[in-house]
Amino acid sequence: MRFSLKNFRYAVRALRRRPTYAAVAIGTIGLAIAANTTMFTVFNGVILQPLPFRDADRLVTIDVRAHTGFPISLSLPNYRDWRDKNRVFESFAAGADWGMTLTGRGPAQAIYALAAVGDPFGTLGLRPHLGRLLTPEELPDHEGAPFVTVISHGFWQQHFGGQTDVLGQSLVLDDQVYTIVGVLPPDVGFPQASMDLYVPMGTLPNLPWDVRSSSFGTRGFGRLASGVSLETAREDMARVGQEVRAEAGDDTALPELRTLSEFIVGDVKTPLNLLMGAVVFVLLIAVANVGNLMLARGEDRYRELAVRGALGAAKTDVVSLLLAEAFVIAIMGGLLGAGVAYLSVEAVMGLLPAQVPALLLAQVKVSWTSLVFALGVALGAGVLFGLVPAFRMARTDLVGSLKSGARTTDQGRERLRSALVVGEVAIALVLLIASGLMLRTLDKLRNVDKGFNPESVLTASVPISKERNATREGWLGFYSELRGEAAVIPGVRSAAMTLLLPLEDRSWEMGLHPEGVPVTPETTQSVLYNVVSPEYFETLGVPIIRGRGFTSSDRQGSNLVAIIDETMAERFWPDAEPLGHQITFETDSASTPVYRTVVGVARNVRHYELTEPSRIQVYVPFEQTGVRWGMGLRIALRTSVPPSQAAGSLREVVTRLDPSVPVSRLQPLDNLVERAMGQSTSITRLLTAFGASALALAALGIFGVMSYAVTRRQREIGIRIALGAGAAEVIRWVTTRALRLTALGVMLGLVASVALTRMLSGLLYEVTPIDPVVFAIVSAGLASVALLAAYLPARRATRVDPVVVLSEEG
Amino acid sequence: MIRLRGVEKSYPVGTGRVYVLRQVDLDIQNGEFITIMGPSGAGKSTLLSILGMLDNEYTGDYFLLDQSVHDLKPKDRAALNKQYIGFVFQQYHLIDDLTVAENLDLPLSYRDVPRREREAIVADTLDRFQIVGKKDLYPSQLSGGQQQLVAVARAVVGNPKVILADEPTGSLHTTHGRMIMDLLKRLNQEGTTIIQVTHNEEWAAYGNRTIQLLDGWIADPARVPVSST
Repeated sequence: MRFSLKNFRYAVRALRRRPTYAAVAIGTIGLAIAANTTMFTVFNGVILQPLPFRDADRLVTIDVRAHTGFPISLSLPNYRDWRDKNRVFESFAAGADWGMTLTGRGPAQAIYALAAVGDPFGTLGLRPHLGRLLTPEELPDHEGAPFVTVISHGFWQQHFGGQTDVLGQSLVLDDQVYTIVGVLPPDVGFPQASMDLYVPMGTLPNLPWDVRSSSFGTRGFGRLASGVSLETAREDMARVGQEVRAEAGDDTALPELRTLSEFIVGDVKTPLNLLMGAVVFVLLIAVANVGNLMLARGEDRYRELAVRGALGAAKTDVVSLLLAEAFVIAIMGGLLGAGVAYLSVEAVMGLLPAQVPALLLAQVKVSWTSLVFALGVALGAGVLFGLVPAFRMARTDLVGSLKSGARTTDQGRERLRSALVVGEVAIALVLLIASGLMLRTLDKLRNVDKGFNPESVLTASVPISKERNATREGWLGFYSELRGEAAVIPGVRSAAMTLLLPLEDRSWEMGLHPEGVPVTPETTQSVLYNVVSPEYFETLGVPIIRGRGFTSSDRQGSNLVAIIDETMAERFWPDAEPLGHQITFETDSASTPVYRTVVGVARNVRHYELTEPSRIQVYVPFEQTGVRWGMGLRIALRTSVPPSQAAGSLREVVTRLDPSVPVSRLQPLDNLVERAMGQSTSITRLLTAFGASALALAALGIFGVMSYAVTRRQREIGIRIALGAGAAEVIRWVTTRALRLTALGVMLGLVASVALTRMLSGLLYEVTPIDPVVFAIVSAGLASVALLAAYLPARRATRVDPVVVLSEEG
Repeated sequence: MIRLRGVEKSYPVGTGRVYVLRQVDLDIQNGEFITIMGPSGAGKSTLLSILGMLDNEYTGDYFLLDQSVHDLKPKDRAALNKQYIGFVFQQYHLIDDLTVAENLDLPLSYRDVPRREREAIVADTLDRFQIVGKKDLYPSQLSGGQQQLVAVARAVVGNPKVILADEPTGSLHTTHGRMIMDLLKRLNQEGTTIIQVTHNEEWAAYGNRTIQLLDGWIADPARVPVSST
């Protein structure tokens, strides 16, 4: 086959002379390539690119499995033993996310630090942008570390304007003075790129350095020695875990390894795979549509191709001529697609699930790889939509076309065009059903019984200073006063303090024992422990379904009380009245269990996930926290005005009470619900967008095929009208043909959907992958759109003048 | 130059066949100007298509310059076509997206003539047909006569031995028709064999021999069955 430059030049000229055809073909394939390139760019950055660490494939994280089977975090004694006993790690480190308060640089601010031990920077293979990074000697596994810090590039830009004299300057964090020794490069960080800074864990006060059963969100990670496989490392760490358990007791947690990539990429792989698959479907529909357009264009070129044949063109010449036009469309579509992808990738990143880590998002950039992908897809698409019509046209006996400009009829070509439309309808149906299933899931999630009412509630984090935290009175006094002042802010109906807010990604679990059960590790039931002021239940809208809520009389010195939730009541006392029973999860200074009386049962609150059944949650009044005071609390305000209107006043109240207390995470409770639905919402939005594109393209395909059929059958339509067919009969005749194609496409699409929607099952909530309602509604909707797409050509058919048409044919 | 023996062309219809050409025997000498006439459906254009090797679904023997066309492989037949045959159509059949010069270049490009040589031949042809000033125009910018002039120029640009013209003046006014026929006559006088199909007696007279076709038969009273007249 000869591909001469001349063919491409002619193809460009031919397209310029047919701007509508060119625009539709290039636009269709261009937008599909844009969607594919955008998703590929995201997929490449998040999934395909290695993490921005040296030899990232050797990095692993160490998950911790408690003897109860629950995943927990790493205690410091376990960290030490696992680090020292393993034979597979080149370097080892651990870190805990640590909220700190920055003061002395304007208003107090909440910042996010990683409190580290070991050799995190060496393990990750990071190099400083400025200064130096923290050494293993500065990150000991005990108290007494130097007060030095490394700051992130973003923090450096935000707080120091990127000035190079930042090294040696001081930061006051939680009332301690830290010296800045280095700045990280942009877009790197662990575990999130958004981490503000890194401090030695050994600078933090009162950590349980030697309590094996106590952890506070610490995560271990390490670099495998060269040549060590993950499997070998797992075996070795299993050995280490058993050795430590033999020494420290059966309730010692065990290590579990997974790659750092798996840890960071985690849950987003499935949705991204799904969305990538969806855009490939859109591309296939676009290819079918452009293929159809090219077949139609081929019909117009019969005469030209026949003349070329008569003048000596071989079939390969005809094929290369038609392919040249296909490639010109494809390449222009590819360039358009790459351009649109360049402009839209930022917007699509905004639509991605919030679960996609910033560290990976930072790697998402339209690059040469994206351009090569776009052009590669374009050429592939060009071959697909160009080759079949080209060979189809070349195979046709063109001699008849030369006779008085008559067109030959080719049933095969018409069947091919119809088959393409059937395929488009089938693919569009699969995408629409997928988005329909996700829409049903969103609906179910919106209406799930969350156990609280998120409407008109403003929440904020208000961690107090070390000084106020030093005494129970200081801690309780500040929060009581804050709550009282906040409650009288205009527009606020009630105000409450709480340790935990639902769906906030923050939890505090304690081992609980009911009365009559011996307090041993084996009998421990891990439950959510929440410290709340009496107004919590009213403010959050959590109904008390038995007994009572807390009152102001539940204070220090009075009977210790607790409120449990429905799950706990059912599990612990399935056939008995839970009120009046005793539970314990605390000990006094003499290590004697402290029992509390259950005085109320609250509705289950979905704390971790909207889609997960509630874990047991136990509430204690914040004036009866025993030894568990001192934790930073959240404030919640139920308002009679839009929650954001109370935000300014809340800040003023906090600043007036204590200017060193930062107000952070200031947001309506609704935001937390929306964020919990974030993955489902973003997948639904993108799938719906792709489904809508697929529907539009399929409708365009049906329109095109029916328009062509009407043109081809003008004589037949003329005869029918001459024989007495009215407009209704003609419309019915045309639309019935369209519906036949649609019905075939829908049937194929339904079969494909049954096979493919199973891939969605992990993302669905209370909706089966073959939900009959969704299948039925989408099928009917698609058929209606098909009918509409066929109606316009059908209307045109009614305007056929039999006299004119039949005389032309005669 | 051209020899047909017992050429038949038919289509299956139902259980039988419909014949378009029946037992055509025909000899055409080099340098002849042949006119094929006959009523619509007589098989004129089909005969021209077979002569031009566009239609290869026939029975019988076809010899061109003593080569048995009916036995040739498609590729060799195409090569023979490129070497000896030029076409002129009633509807001109110029390529709309190509300029006049590019239309002339087309047959040469399919004959693998080097680019420089093609440019020279096209320039000569434009000059010879006095259409140099129109070389960059598209067919839609030309009158019908001018388009057919270009079509004839395109037919001769490959220097064919035979020009097959299917009603070359059918879409033209008389003045333009006469111009085209004069042109064909001149080409014939220069040595090119011309075979034209026409309904027009005046244009038929330009030829030196007329073949009448009737219901697929060459109208030789001795061979046409009485029942078919």
